[in-house]
Amino acid sequence: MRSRLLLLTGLLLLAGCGGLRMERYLHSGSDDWPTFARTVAHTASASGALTPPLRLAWTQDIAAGMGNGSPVVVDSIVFVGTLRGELCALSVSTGKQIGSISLGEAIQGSPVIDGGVAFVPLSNSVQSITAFDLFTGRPRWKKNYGDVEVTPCLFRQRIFFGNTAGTFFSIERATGDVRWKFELPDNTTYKGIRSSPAADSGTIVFGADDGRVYALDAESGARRWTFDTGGPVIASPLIVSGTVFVGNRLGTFFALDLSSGRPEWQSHTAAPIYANGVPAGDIVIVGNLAGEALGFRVSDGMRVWRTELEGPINAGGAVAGGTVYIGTMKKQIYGLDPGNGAITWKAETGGRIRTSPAAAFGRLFVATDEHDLLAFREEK
Amino acid sequence: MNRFGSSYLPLLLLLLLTGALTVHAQFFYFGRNKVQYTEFDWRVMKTEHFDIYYYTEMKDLAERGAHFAEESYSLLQQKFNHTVNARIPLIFYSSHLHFEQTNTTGGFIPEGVGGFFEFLKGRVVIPADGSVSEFRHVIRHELVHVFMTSKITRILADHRKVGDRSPPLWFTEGLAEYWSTEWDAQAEMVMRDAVLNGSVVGLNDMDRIYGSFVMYKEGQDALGFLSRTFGQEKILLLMENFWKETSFSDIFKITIGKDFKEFDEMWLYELKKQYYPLFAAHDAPSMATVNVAREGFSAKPVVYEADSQRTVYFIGNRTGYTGIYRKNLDERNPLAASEEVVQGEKTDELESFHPFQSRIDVSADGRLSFVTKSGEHDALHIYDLRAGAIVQTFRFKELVSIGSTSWSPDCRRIVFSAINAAGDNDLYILTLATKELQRLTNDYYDDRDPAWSPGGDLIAFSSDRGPSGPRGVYNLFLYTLSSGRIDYLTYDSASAGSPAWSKDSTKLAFTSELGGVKNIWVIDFAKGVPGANRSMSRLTRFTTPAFDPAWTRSGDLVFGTFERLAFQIKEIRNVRGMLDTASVVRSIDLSGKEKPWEAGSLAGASEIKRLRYRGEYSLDVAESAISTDPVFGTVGGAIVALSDLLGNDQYYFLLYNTAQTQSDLLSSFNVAISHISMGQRTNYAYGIYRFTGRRYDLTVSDDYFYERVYGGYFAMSYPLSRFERIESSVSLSNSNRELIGDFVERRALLLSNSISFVHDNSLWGPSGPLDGSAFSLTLAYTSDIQYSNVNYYSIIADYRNYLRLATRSALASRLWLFYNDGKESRRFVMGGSWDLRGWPLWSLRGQKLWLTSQELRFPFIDQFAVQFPFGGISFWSIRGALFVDAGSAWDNQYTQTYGSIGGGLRMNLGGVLVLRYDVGKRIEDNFTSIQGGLFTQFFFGWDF
Repeated sequence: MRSRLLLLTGLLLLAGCGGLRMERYLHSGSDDWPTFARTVAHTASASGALTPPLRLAWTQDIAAGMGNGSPVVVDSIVFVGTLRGELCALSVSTGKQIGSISLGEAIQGSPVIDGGVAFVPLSNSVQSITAFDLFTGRPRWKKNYGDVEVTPCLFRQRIFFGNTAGTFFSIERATGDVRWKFELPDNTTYKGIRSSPAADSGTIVFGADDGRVYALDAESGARRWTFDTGGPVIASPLIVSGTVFVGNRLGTFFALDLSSGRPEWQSHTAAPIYANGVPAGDIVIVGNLAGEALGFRVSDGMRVWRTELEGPINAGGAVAGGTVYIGTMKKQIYGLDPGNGAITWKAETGGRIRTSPAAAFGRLFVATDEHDLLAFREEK
Repeated sequence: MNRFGSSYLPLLLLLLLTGALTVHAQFFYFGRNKVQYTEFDWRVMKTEHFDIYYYTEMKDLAERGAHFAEESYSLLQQKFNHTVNARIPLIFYSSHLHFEQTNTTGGFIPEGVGGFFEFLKGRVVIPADGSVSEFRHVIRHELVHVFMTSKITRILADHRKVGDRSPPLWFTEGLAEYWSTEWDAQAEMVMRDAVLNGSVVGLNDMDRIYGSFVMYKEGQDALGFLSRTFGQEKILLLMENFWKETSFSDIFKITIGKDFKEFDEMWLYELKKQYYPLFAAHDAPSMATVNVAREGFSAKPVVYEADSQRTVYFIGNRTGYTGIYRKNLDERNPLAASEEVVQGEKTDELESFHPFQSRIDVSADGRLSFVTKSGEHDALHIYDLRAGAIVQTFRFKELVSIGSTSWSPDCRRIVFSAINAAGDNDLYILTLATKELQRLTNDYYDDRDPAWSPGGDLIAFSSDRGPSGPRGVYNLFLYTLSSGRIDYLTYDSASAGSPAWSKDSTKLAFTSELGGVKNIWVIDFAKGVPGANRSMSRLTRFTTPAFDPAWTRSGDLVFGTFERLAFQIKEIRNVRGMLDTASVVRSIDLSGKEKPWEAGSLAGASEIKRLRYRGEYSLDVAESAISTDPVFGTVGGAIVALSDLLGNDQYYFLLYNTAQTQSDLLSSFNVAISHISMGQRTNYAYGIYRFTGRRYDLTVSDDYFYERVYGGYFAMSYPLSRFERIESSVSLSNSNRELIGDFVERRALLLSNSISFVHDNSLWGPSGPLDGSAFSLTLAYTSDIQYSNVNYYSIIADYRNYLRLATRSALASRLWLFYNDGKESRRFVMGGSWDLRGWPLWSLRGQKLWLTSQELRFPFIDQFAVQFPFGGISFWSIRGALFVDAGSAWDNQYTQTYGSIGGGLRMNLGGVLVLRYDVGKRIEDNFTSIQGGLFTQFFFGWDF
């Protein structure tokens, strides 16, 4: 009798702790959105269309805020990392929570899901990257690389990320062992890295608080080039067709040649840029803290359109079909026509949007600082 | 003297109800009054992000403020990378005098407070002071607080951290300044003085200057240095990392990689590098001038010369009360004290001076003009120097606040600046004989410091009507009386002010901020070629500023200075020689002068709505409590308090239950509902109540009893002035009490009336009053109008006088005469550290009582510091007291007189609590013997 009581008590305690363990292996598919801005180049374009008007499919309370990443979606499961340090998994179709696990103090960037493993960046925690096996529900490895507040870039079986002290790492996907480290040069005034790295053609690109954009050789960590933008680069770079697009805190948006770092064009906007650019055809779209959504022609930087949205834009958008979706801190999510910037749809979200949306499996996922994850679907 | 039943919950209610009526009567029943002189017709303007509360007279100003608020919102949402999504209430007042009447905060608002953000309701309360640029600055300053609070609250909530912390004051105020204004002459003044005179402190020691203006400016400078050295993004990161640690110094270390000490080494070194070279080409004011008045606070001098005697008059503060002082300018003894001519801040007429705002002036025939607050508005006083008395006082219904004054050469008129109810600061001329007021300017430009030329045809003044006015830059202008024409006198990018004509009209001295801080410059009208540009010569090259120059007949200059955190009066006697050798002469080029600027406004904007204010209530307090006591049993209940946005009306709801058994539940509910109205000059409160339960009332007898009482009350308080008020109350209650144990029942329908007169102009030091006096007289009558079981009257008189012996020492006297007589009259209690010292707390009881106390109060230890290996602790302002008390309490037969004599120490902890320790001897046996040993008493509480 006594042992049964103990067992029951133990089960109840376990149930209270929660956990995150998938009942099946997760299979990658073309509809996934497995990392921040979907690809290592941060192209943020969904495979399928999502034509406005949209309607709210479900809302789920995730119990804490979200950092500067985005929800990620793999095999019909949406994952969010919260600022309370929890990795939560929800059903794409219903929003029902499948499980959650506390991994540390805060997840500022997004997890990256690959091969059934979530690579989770952690801030202010003993371990700052955890490789969490979603099938066993246990970490495969976890190590400390300083405070990591970016979304890691998983590229060629290596994980790339920078920390808030200004060190950039390349580590092994399988073990977390450091392959190489890169220290920001002349870092006497404590400049950190809060720009999530992008990768293409063997090059890793990221911005830093020291105002520079760095391009490193993915294999060796050797510096390929550096470009000084003149102001802190918090935004994450976008790489499209051999060009790096990135904005800085002074509000200037740059197009840099991926191979040389040479500026192809630059355009000054009215306010700091924290959001990553998103490409849509021959237009690259970026928002700033003045609430301007701007469309630039990729080839020459000509501003094709400017649309004033309600509230500052802190995060990049997501492109699905012929629409780019952008959230603002005035609790609005917008659908814009990338060709002319016309607002084709907008919805009230109930909370500030500080993170990028994700579009996958016929849904648009939007996190708000009211601790909600919202899923929109086509109205039809 | 508690005239309600006992048990602590009703007492709490009583404190809430009666305390609220005299909320500004800070200590016991004394205290000064916050008078609601003006009946404001409040309106609400709804813009995109703000609900702006204003009154009809200041509509234009409110529309300009609305524009500045929205402009600041756009800027700050980018700086903070954050939005405040709730609507922000902004309450505007058109002048500081109106602002001082606000009920949004309970305390008095000193003249130096330019606005505040109140966290509970998220209100921002801001007065204008005539300057559009300053209005914009204060709006932005307070909105920085709003954004910071919202952002940090959001960050902590996002990380699910407890919102029990906030950044240190140097950071919140420093950032509010850093992001709301440019580095100006005032900031430069404070930092130069702090660095050059060795009083600058680092972040690690900011508690030493906590809450001071120096702390604001040091915080602003520290954040500027941090931004320049470590990057502007670090300021935002300090907030975004707020969730990572509970200590701000740890957050600082995480964010910039250096702790406070390491940062201070860099920052303070940078400050020394910046300011120490000033000594190569500049002088400290005290090293290059003749001292005139250097004790206490001294400012705004004027010189009067008669009978070959030169006398300087100025606004000063030596004792805590601001007034007008004078000193012989040729006094050889630099330590000779100044003489107080007009004592302010003790009477209704001279309620308070504006020592930073209003210059005084003296006429050729020996009359002094000066300004004080007097009731609802400022008043302009004329003081006859020969008669030694105020001979005329002028109040202007349409003018709220008055600035500097200047006499016409014929002594028949005075020009002055004044702010009207609309918030415009303009120039006016008063003709003394007819009391006729002529308005010279009529616009929203800030016109200040008029100076009537000795020739009588021109008035020089300072104004922000120049093209740099929106940035707070003032130039000098000339108003030609014959034509009403206004011409530029200076045209510069740095502010000029305080013009003063030499007696022969050939020179104009003034202050200019060229070079960083105010120094004295002179325009010599006799020099130069007609038609060519005039020039201005720099007279002083001080490291720290000079203010308000005033000429003597012989051409010397007397002026104010700021050095070592003190405002003093100095003199320069070789003006002519200095001008002849002036190294900096600047041509005044008026050729490119532009038209006056136009202030931005939301007037006419279609998206704003205007409504009449109808009271918007929200919760202030919602608290529940439960307690258990072996005698009174278990008591549980809740209190809820509501008030409107302007704080004018408050509602209190109290509900608790004293049932000890289930069957008592319904009959043991205690309920009280009260409404307090403070929106008009007469404050009033009314309410109903029902209380039931066991009581112990030490003012009646030593018995416990059970009482059911229900009834209602009405109370009012009418302030005659800041210093005096009349209070009155009436209550009707049905009381049914049973003496526990004896089962003796007493029923009564009690009607109580009281009326009181209260006076208080006392001035407080660290542990209690040091100057002034306080007096209270209460007459009350209570009777049972149904059963005649109760019938008594009360006379309660309390007089206190504080005789200042030195700046920080005083002889305090107190006399109590309390008299209750009649059927079931209450007892007063006495004994303990607060009244009759040496005797046990409340050990003497009687329906009649008298007490007198004499106490010598003096400073004992100014600072007592203990340094441990891990840190230090300091105690400030430990004060000493020597006292003698005598008194007695009796019912029908006077028994004996009690007394005590001794000394003690008092220590103020954080301004909210005074610890007191007394040692002495009781005087016993009807004043015939002294206690054998010594009594000691350790307690808390302010000195009487």
